[in-house]
Amino acid sequence: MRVAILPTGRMELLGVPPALHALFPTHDFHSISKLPRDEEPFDSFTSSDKPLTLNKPNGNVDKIVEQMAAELVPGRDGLAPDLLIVLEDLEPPNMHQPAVVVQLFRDAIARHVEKLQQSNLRLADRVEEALRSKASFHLAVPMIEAWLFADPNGPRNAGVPAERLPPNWESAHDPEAFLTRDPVYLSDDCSACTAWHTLTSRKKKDHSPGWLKQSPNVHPKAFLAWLCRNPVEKNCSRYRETHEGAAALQALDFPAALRSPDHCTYLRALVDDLADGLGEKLSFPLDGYVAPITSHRERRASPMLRNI
Amino acid sequence: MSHAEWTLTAQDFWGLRTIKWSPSGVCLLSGPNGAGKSSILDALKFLQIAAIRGISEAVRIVGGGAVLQRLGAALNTPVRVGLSLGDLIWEIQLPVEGGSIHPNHGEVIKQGSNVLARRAMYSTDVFLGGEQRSADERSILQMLWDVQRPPELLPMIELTRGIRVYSSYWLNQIRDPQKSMDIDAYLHPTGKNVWNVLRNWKAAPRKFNDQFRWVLNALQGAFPDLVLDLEFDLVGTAVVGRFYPPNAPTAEDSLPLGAAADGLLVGILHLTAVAGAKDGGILAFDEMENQLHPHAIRVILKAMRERAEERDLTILLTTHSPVVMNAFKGHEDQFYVLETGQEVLPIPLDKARDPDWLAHFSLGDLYDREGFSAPKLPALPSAAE
Repeated sequence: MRVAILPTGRMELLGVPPALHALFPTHDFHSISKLPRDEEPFDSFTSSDKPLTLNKPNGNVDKIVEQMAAELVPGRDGLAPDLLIVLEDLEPPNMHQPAVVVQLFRDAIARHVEKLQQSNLRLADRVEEALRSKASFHLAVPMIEAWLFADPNGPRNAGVPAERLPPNWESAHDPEAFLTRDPVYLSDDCSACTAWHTLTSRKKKDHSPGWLKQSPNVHPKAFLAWLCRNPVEKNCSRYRETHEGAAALQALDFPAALRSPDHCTYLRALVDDLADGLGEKLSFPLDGYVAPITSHRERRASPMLRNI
Repeated sequence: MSHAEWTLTAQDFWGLRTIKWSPSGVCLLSGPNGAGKSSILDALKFLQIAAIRGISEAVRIVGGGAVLQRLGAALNTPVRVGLSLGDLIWEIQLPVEGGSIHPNHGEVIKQGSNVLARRAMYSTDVFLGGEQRSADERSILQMLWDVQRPPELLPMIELTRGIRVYSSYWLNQIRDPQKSMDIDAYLHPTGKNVWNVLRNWKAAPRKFNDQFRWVLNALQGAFPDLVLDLEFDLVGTAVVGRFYPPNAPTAEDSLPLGAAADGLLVGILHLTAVAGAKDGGILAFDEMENQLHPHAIRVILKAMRERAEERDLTILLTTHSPVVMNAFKGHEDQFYVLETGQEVLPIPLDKARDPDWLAHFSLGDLYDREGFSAPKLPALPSAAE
């Protein structure tokens, strides 16, 4: 089967299809990018320093939804994938309200279908049916780098030197409830970032190390960048989403990442949904909890996609 | 006047291999830079000049000293450009010899399979029906009309005289006072006579069918915070225009049009061009969005559509503007694209892309995402290179 991934990050765009292909090797996975010839993902609708609110949808979610719908009916050049997964980061400001993020996505679907109904009822019906049977919306919680912390080899695969690997991380925390209390990390004021300090104030802002931003304790990407810190880099880190991040994602060990039944419930919901959609039995037991909010097994009064 | 469907045809003209286009109403033309949008407008301009002032003059003005032949066209292949209207066909063949257009062009006028007039390439003889004459600077379209006035030719004569192509306005010259001319009734392709035209229209609303009122109404909609009224004074022999903002009711508060924002001037020029078009005429604007705010673009487009409907105009717009494109949602059959790899251009968007695919997007957004009319990238060098 052909599976399309519609991500909102470069790392996911490059890394998720090969990672899932390794999990389901008899199926084809490809990413949908915003521009057909560039590896440019769709703009995230959750990336913000503030929590999302239901009465303030941004245009990005509508663009994702219209692309998702078009890819299914009629499909790019008439060729629709058998399954399509939209993958979005929940982001730390929305950790307490995944339901709001899901509802924003559902609202955008409703708006799009309503728009189609006004011009072409037959097309709207076909789109609704295709969305319910083929499309899913999944969340990387709080962001895709959390998956790398779920895999014991993830940080190493992302370029973290052996001497900096976080001790016993995996057994202590659910990566999807990412929280680090590393005192050195939390107190790092970037004074050692020599290359960054030579930049103009404008460029300093552009290359600001992630751990200087708000709430670094709950930010797995910032922590990963800090573990890969390097004072000669402008942003004080060797870690790049499109290189080390994507490579680590491609090498993700799903059985290891999902070994703890209480952890990674959103990732488990994705894998469970995909296995069901592909009609595949996984080579490892998928025991444990799935996040009900994105689980395709939940019965919903008015499903809009396979899982929400 | 309502005329039959007309078709522009061209072969190896400027940037395009084959043009075959039958637009109607307000139509949009998009394509990547260098795809041939301006070539199509040039073909129309060429035909208009050729019909009225002769083909050598059209070659001089449109060609500008360069060969009109498409780069890559076969050697000694003539450049062809023509119009058909119902069963009437007028075609010009421009022989290319030694890197230039040979002065003895070919030309033919047919009605169905019946040849009304012809001139063979490289020949100095013209055949008007069975009558042989020596060629002169006129097109045989004009010569046939001058000599025989065949009534069946009248629609083609009117069509060619109704073509107006607005590629670029001379904004700097427009800002200066213009010498008063009582005869100006439609806009020159450069826009240089705009104040004269508007002044004449305003002075004789019955004679000019209230064209000034139409322009002013559309301007008030497009520039609601800038324009309430326009007035024109004669200073010596020069026409000087003034505009009254809504909050400036007295002459002391008015402002000279020469000091107006570029966008306002462009809006006035577009609307004056449309208002001055002959019924059944063909107007073309190259990148009409330039200098205009999205609100003004939308209002002017709406006014163009209404006028085109009332007056049976064909209005052709080239664009790179997502705002203009969005105004063609639901009119995809009037949205033409120049896509690489197509033998005959342009093609309607709803033929270039599945209409069900298009239905999901705003057209400007899809263009922005390179969903159509995108430039073709050169192949990447292989690792071995």
